[in-house]
Amino acid sequence: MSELLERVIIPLRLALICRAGQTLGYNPVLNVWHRLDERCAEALRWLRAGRDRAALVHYFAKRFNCSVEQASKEIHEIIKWCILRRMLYLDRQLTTAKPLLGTNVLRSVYWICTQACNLKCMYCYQDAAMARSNELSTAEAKDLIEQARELGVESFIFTGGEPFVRRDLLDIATLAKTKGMRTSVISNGHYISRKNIHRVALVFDSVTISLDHMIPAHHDRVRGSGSWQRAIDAIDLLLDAGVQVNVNSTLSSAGLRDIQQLISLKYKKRLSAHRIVPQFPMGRAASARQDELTPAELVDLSDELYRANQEAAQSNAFLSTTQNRKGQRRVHCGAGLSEIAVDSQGWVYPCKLLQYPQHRAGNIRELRLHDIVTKDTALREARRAVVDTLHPCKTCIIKNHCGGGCRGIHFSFTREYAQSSPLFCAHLRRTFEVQAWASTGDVPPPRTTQFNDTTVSDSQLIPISSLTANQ
Amino acid sequence: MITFSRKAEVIWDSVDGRMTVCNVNSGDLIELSQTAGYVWEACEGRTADEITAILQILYPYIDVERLASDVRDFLEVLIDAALLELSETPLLNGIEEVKGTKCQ
Repeated sequence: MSELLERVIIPLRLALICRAGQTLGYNPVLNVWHRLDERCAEALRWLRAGRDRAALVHYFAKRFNCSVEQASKEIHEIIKWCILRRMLYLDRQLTTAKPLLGTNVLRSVYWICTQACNLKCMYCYQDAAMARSNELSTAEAKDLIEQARELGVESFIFTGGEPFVRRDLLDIATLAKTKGMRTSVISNGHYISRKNIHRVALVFDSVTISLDHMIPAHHDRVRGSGSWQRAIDAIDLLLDAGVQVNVNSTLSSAGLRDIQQLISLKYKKRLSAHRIVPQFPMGRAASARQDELTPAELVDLSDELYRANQEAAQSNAFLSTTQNRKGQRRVHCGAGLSEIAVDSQGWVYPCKLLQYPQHRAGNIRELRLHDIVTKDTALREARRAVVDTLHPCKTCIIKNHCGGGCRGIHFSFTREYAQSSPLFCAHLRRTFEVQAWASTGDVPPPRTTQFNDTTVSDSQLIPISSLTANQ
Repeated sequence: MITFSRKAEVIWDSVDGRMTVCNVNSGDLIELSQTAGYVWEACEGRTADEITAILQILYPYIDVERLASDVRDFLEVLIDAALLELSETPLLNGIEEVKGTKCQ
């Protein structure tokens, strides 16, 4: 037996993820993965199972019909390949993946600049409609920008409601821009017109337009009549003006029917990013649960998106950001750490999806933003919730990859910041799997997800009283 | 002349576009930057000047002195990490005899 084979150690919880006869090796501690060929997968399976290492060569020779010498040489090469890719260690476990987030790196401020919106989308997480009383004035908003800059914030994102409802939006955004921050706005596009496009292009580094469907009737059904055409017109105007355009899509069950056309939009229109987020029960969507993706649809969504991307782009362009996270530990979603949200009345929250009383920090009308960010208990609590302290994450195999997932989405299901939704976790795990496969070339066909109907008739149920009686 | 060669007990490969090197005696795994990867690949019984000359082709806009200094510093790091070995090559009638061991 070769010396290397004797010395190698299996990484803690090394996962071998199989699809259509192919295997992806995943080292969860270091968050690294590699596609394994058949022989490498077989060797790792043998070692991971703790079988007799000395017998591996003979097993290999028999299994792959080669001489013992050839098998020995091949196993030696496999071991070297695995060591260099951290699928195996030499002598000791490694635990040194670089954390993706530091301890205090506030980079982005989302300002919900108004609660007012010209639309009344059925699933608006903000439940936006009318402006709140006493929203921040122009002077207060400009002071917020000064304070954010003093804190070293790099990116200032205007959201709502519909930000363009505020007549002073461009003035305020101009100040953020002149202070050196990257400025972005999330809008439905209705108020972006030929009249203001040049100023919009000057003030914003990127504009995100909300567009949920490529079939106008579908989009208009949930967002309001004529809203699809106005969103498309805004996208075209912005692109012509040279603005970086992103699209956000909220995906309901109905949206799956035209997902292929929606995904083609990114490639047809030269969009910078297209973010598709399933509808979750927050804000107004909490009373439209019937429109959510079914559990099976949510879990299979990543495979569906991958297929649609493949057809639309004829390339492997699916969510390439995953590759950038390889080898790094993501321990936190960023809420209250790399980003905060300030609502239209000046209240600070860890994230725009966590605007609940229990997560409310101070108000910038009463305290300096610096003091709120550094001292407020709500933000400190949010920051402390890293994957090693979140109870459901402790044993999860992808915790160092997803960082616990969006706590706002988890909260919408569980109503507990530190609790995770099993359904959303299943979605995250499948997303990781698809993205990891995609980063190695292509994604083999998935296993079929079958949620069997487990409805049990009354006659099949054992009465609880009989159970307790037996005890 | 001193030449630099990779040690026999060192294994290496390009992993996700970055050169990864491991001395199997110590078990230490080192991931090199892109430029460091070029230097590593050039360590096949070459002198520091020869390695610098290769890098000069890749980075023509960088000052030669600075490049040479960086190469020397990095070679020292690799020697300290027990990844490289040095060979003394005598000059015979002005012609260099290259004795560097080429591994893998």
